[in-house]
Parts: sequence; structure tokens; C-alpha cells
Amino acid sequence: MKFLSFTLLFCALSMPALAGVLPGEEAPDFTLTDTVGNEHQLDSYLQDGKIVVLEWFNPDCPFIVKHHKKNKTMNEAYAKVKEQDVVWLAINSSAKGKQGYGLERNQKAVKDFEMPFPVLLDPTGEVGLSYGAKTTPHMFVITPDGTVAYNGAIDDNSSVATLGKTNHLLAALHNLLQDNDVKIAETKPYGCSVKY
Amino acid sequence: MLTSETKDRIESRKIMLSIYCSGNPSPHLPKEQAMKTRTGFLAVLFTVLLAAGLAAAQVDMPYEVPHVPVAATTINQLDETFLVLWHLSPPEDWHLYSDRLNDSGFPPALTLQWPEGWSAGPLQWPMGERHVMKGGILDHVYFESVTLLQEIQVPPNSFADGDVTLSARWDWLVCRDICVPGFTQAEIVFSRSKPSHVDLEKQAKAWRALPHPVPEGRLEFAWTESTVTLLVRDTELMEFHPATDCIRLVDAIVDGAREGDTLTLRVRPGSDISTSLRGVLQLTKPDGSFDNWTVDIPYGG
Repeated sequence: MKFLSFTLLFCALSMPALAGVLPGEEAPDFTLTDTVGNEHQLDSYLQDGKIVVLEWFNPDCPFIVKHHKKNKTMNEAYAKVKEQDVVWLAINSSAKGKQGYGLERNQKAVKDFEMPFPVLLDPTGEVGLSYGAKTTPHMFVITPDGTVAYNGAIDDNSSVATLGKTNHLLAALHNLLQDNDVKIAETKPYGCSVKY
Repeated sequence: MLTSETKDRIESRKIMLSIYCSGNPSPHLPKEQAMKTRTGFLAVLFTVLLAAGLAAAQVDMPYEVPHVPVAATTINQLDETFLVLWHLSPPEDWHLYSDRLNDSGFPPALTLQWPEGWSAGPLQWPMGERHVMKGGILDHVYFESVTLLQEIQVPPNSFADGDVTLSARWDWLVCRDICVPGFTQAEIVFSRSKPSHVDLEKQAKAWRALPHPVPEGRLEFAWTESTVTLLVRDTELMEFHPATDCIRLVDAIVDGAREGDTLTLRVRPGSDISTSLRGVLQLTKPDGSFDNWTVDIPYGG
């Protein structure tokens, strides 16, 4: 009984986080600082007509290692779209004391993974919770009008070792870049839990 | 910080290296024997380097690398039918994932090349526990050892040459505040010998932990356009663990557990109405005992 009471209390506390943002909904604006001290504001990218990709990130999660170290899924995907007004932001919402937290750890990850895009630090988890980010990785695509166009997994293989046959994120981006609706706008993300 | 054991290993490594780099291990030995000695040195050197490397690698590890032992018990049910009990044991404080709907992680996966003509039924998973984390993250996990059941059909005369031993691989992910993937290679022996009393007890216990079909007339339900309400009389607590192909729910955390005999689940607008409410319902009865029922209720709103 105690467990249930605790669970329900916990759920109540977590309520605002549960909504998340679904495809078609407005993306919450944020301003976060990256590992070299630069500020990034979502709205300013959108006002410049950019499509923004958000990748929830934790350098010590095995699924992030799968896509950033064992394979270069994210770097290669970014290389395919970076010339087409696409901005890619990795966001780390690990709280202090949790896995993947900290400026130095993420500076090292940027270097080790040879990341061509910035890692933004969100130690309070405010941005992660506002998006309903649940896993690392968890991908979002936002169109210049501020609408979420894709929410979900990077690809269709949720194992920790094998890459998927379909890269859902790239498929969504290709749809958008050809001025089409995103055919698959939502999938189930997979990975480690975000360490709020 | 280096442990004294690591320092010892590094010192041994330095000594071995200086011996080998000094040239012929012993100029007084015949050439062939000297070659053998050198090969031996190389083997020892390699082993020591490997051990030192592993020890050094573990120095920075903030946790003991977890491992999930897997044991298999086979029980001959009928002539050509076996029941396999797969026992997976996560380390203390770590958890494994069930095959039900999880926001993170993944359930253990079995890879086994069955002999020609053998057929394996699906793995049967017992009830897990709801694991709620900050951020509205819900998983269904096993915090302790878990036993999965699997029925195997073998062709006649499979045991003409005696027992059959197979090798299985289990890939798993264990998590606590961090997640670590790994795999375990397990041996499984099929024998026609009569099952032991202990094995039969294990089977009975594993069977009781599985979800079972709803007894006739015990579950009442009602759909509206966007909700389904489940009623099971004489129940103190209800929990619903959605299957991976369950109709999409608005909030499985808030709606999925309730004190009392009624549980109302909200269905997400725009869900595929050709799907069903699928999953497992756990009922806590007034005497504290549990019932686990498999639920599959077509959308009726």
C-alpha cells in the first residue's frame, strides 16, 4: 500500500512532464549553453528559417555509444542535411550526480565522438521535461514555424548493437526538405532513460 | 587511484618486459629450448599484459561490471514435449526488463540454433513490477531473479544417441542509475530422464507467476469513446501493465494503478482503433494474494 501511495504521489509530482510535445504541437522555446559557453536559443534559429533537430544525449549511455562511437549515425545524418538549413542540437538533461552529467564530461564526449554539432547542458531537466524527452537518444524535429514535425527514435532497431534498416529521423527530414508532410511523424523512442 | 593488486601486476609486467628485452632468455640453453622458452615468455607476457590492461581499465570503472547468470532447467512433459525454465538473475540493485511496454531499456533476448525438426514456442514472461522514474518514464522490470518458460517440441528419436546439449546466448541490458548491456552463454541439456521433485517445484512456481486467462465472468468492462473502465469485484488494488502492441493510452503511469476494484484507462485520441487493450492485469485480493490475468479487449468506443 505504501508503494502505491508513493507511486501515486510521485506520479502527481511528475504530471507536468507527462504531456511532452507531440507532432503538430508547438515546440517550447529554450535557451541553453553548450560545452564551449555559447548560448543557443531555439526561437532565434527558427526565425532564421532553420529546421532544428534535437537529440537527447548522455555520453555514457550504451545507446548513445552505439550511435556516436561504434557507429557514426548522428554525425553521418547531420552531414547529409547540414547544408540544407538544418541545425542539430544535442541536449544533455542529466542532473547533478547522475550519469553523463557535467561540463568536463561532455566536453570530452564532444571531442571523443568528434561531434560536429554542439552539446547543450540542461542540468535542471527543465527543457527535457518540457519536451517529454524520455530516452537517450530521443529525437525531435522542429519546423521553422515552431511546430514539432517528428518525435521518436533515430531508427527502427532498438538493440544496443545493431543499426536499424530505416533511419526515421532522416526520412522525416527528407520529407520536410522536399516540402512534403512527414509520413511517419511519431515512433517509440528507445534507449536509456533520461537521467533527470 | 591504482589498487595494490594493479601495482603488483604492473611491476610484474615491468620485470617480465625487462627479462624479455634483455635478449636470449638464457644464453646457456640449446637453441630449440631457448625458442620454446621465448615462446613461453611471450605467452606469459601476453597474459600479464592483458591482465594488467583489464585491471587498469577497471580502475576507472565507477561500478562493478554487472553480469546476469542464466541457468536452464528442462523438464520432459510428454514424449516429444519439453518445458524449459530459463532462470535469469540480475545482480543486487540492478533490474532486467520485461517484454511489456517500456519507455526505456529492452527485455533479454534469446539466440539459440535449434536442431533441425525442433520447434520452440514463445517465451512466457511472468508479471514484472512498475518502475516509475522522474520525467514520466515508466518501465516494467524484474528487480530479482526471473524465470521464463518456453515449450519445445522435438522430433521422435531425438535421443537415440543420449542426451542433447545445446548452447544458448542471452543478450540483456541491466540498469540501476546507469545501464549496462551484456550477454551470457548458457548450456541447456535435454534428457528423457524423469524430472526431479525440485525441478517440478520450480516449474509449479514459475507457472504460478505467469499471467493466465481471465476466469469466465470475473472481469467486467465498459468503453466510452475515450476511456475503458475495468471492474473486478473483491479486489483491493489493480495494476495494468500494457503490452507493446496495446492501444495507446494517455497516461499509463497515472491511470495504470489504483486502489479499489475499478481501473479507468484513458485512450489517446487518434489511436488506431483496430488495436485492443492488451496487457496484463494484476489484482491484489483482500487476503494479500495476487492474480495476474492476460487482457485483450477490442476497442469498443
